[in-house]
Amino acid sequence: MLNYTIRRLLFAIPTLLAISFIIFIVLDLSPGDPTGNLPLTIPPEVREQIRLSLGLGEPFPIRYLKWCQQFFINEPLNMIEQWTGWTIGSGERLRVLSWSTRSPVVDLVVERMPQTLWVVGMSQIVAVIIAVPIGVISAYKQYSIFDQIGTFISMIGFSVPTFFTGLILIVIFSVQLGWLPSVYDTTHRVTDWNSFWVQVRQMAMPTMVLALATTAQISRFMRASMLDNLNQDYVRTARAKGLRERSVVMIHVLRNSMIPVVTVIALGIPGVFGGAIITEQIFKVNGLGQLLILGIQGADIPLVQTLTFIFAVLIVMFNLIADVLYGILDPRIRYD
Amino acid sequence: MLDNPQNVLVRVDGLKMHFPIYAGILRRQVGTVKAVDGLTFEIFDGETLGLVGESGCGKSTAGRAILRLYDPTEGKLEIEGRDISTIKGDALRNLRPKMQMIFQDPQACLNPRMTVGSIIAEPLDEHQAMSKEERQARVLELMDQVGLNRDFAGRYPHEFSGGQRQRIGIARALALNPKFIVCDEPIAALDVSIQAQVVNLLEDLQERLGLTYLFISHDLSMVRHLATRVAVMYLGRIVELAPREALYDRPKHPYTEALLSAVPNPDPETEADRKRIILQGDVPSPANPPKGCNFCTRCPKVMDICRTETPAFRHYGNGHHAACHLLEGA
Repeated sequence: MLNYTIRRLLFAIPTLLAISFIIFIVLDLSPGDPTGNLPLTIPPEVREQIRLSLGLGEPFPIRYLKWCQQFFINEPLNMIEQWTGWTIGSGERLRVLSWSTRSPVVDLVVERMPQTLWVVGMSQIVAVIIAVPIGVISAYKQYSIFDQIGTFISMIGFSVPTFFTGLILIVIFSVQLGWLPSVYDTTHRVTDWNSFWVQVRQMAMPTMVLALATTAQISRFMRASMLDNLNQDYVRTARAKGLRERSVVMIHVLRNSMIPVVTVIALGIPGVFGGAIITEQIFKVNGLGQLLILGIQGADIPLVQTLTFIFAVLIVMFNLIADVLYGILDPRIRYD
Repeated sequence: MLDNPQNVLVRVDGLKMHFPIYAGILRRQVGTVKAVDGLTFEIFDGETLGLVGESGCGKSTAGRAILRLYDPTEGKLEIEGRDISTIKGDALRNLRPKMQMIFQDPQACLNPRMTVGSIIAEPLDEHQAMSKEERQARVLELMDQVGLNRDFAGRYPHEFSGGQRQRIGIARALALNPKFIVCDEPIAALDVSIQAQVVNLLEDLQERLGLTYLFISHDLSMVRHLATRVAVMYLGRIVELAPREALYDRPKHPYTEALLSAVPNPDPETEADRKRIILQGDVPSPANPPKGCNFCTRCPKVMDICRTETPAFRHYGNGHHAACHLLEGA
């Protein structure tokens, strides 16, 4: 397993380099002017100078290599310096800077990460907690009323987009009932039980909107996987052994059914880091998704390039993690 | 082999197992598959009753229904004089140690995520208060009994060959010291050299532990080797039930004759002029069995009465039972 993991990690390097190059090409070809949002009174010569100062005067390959140097060498060295307090070399090196804010992109990401992890990450956890029991019961009592209702709700979760459910929730819970705030306050600090409760309330709606969509997906997977296993011969064997129905379902069926579901959950985690672009916009959560949108609107190429690349790294990593988990959970799978 | 032939261990009376067929938009019941349609027989203590018949005739369903892995539609089941046809839940669970099953497909019937040791130990855990050491000792003892290397207790089922897996299945079935074991085609998935080993193991265990088998198979020569009495099933019903020699030497039912004529003879001289009775047509669907005798659509000796009236399952002396109109007149 270790050899397999190392081999996969080595293979990931050329893959990721290719991805970063493709992202760079796409962003370079896309229309958009980093000076487009500046006041119209700025004369064209000045605009040209601004572009040159951003490095846009260089040819494409040079710009790509410079980004590579900044991202793959300068940023990691900088991180090592911050963690250890050492000074490597002169300590003066060019980091990946956002064009619109002029601050390092990595700092922006670090700043935005907690909100996204709290809201989107919590929605994943809530979704798993809700979806697994629903899937198990729906499969065990296939075609029952519970199963029909579960199927119906999953269908809603699949088919109704988050911008719609989000607005509906705002209309009901913020406007009509006035129970929950419609705007997420990032400056809020949790210091005691009261402020914790405020935090819970402001997280409730964005979390539930995202959880509905994820629950729909996971509960369907869980149900299908359970149905697959419920008819297996070893389940009959377990019943013939005289086990309690509870042990039959929880130990024999559920554990075998979790194998594909766990990988689905693992593959969903990069999406957590990616944030939920639309939901974050609706509830004004200033997370990573919102950062990406702002970057795209302002043609902030280094920001978009770096964020997109970080997502790519996460996706490649969690694919590997899902494969390794599969090998751990299913003794029949051997990678070496 | 039979110490006391009258000592009945299992009594099956009019067992029916029908499965509903649902169809249409509203999934209304449109019919039933009559997988088992009225079985009546007894299994004596310590004997091996062979249950033979072609694929799809309801042998396995009968075996499972007798062990109450299904809820029978109709009929009475008794084991050691106790009616088990309607008991449920814990009462049924507590009877499981008495009756066990060896399944056909040794690959599919073992949980792929459990080690052999835990597969065998699980029923002990559930039904017997044992310390960890006692349980471990019992697992190893069972592995010895079925001829598995003790070192394999920590391995997973997929790491074994078919024959070894079937031994695991047997060890698991034996774990609770059952009296009655239904062997549901335990050798059908194994290759011939391994079949002999497993059959010998089953015989050996029967002798040592005093087991009673219901041996379900479509392999007539294997049943002849193993069984004391043989029941022949066709389309959900028993057509003939007799002691082994009587059935193989003097079959009474035309279906049994046809079935036996298909068994190859190891002697090339007699094999050369063995007359095969070839049945015409296909087995009717158990969802829509023919009127009268189930075998009337394919029987070479069919009479008019066969198409209208179901023949009764009668005793014709010396433990020879059959259901055929031909015999009624005789």
